[in-house]
Amino acid sequence: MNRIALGGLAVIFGTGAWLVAAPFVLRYQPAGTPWTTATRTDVTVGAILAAAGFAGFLAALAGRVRELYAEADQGTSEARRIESLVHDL
Amino acid sequence: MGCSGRYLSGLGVATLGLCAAGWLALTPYASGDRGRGPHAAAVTDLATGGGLAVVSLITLVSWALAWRRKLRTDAALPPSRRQARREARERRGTDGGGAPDPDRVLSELRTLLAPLLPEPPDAQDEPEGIAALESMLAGAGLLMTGGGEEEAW
Repeated sequence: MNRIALGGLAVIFGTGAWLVAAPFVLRYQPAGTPWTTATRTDVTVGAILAAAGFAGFLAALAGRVRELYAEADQGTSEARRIESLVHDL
Repeated sequence: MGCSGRYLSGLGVATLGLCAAGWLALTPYASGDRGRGPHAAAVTDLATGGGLAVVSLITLVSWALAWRRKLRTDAALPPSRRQARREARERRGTDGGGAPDPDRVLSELRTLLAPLLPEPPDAQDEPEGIAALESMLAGAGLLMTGGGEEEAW
């Protein structure tokens, strides 16, 4: 489930990048002319999506890493507690 | 931001993607630019918007489910009905196996207690430890048969 969720964020980032590039790749923005309304819309929406997707992906990844660290700390303290109990016995 | 930050950011980005998809789908009609040719901006916007809507919806549902599962794991949410039913069934399976056989319990108890008793000085006289153990086990047997109907072991 987490992989699908993270993958979804990556796809959203990719879609944003595609929207920024689409007018120039598909050549509906003629070179050397002022940007059309469609180009402006696509580039703006694409930039927002790409930035949000990238930030969201990084935030989700950082949260997962923080969870892993917390689990590792919990496991270590639990092991120390068991070790001290065994030592007391 | 805490532990819920990653789920909130995922849900936020997925919602933003859904809004952007709606905007992309509506833009050609709002601006009056229906597009000309296969590579027109309107076709691109509609196709990208449609795909983005599907992906954003899947992402939104995935993050919501992941967050709900995490909250259930942390016991912040009560377990689901299915999980509660399964746990109850498991509890019944371990508790409801019927009362154990008293003879078997006594023999196991005898086996467990035997090493704790000191070795008899010589084999001729009846060891007091064994006698005490036997009387203790007999008492336990009486208790078990007396209270067996009321108490589930």
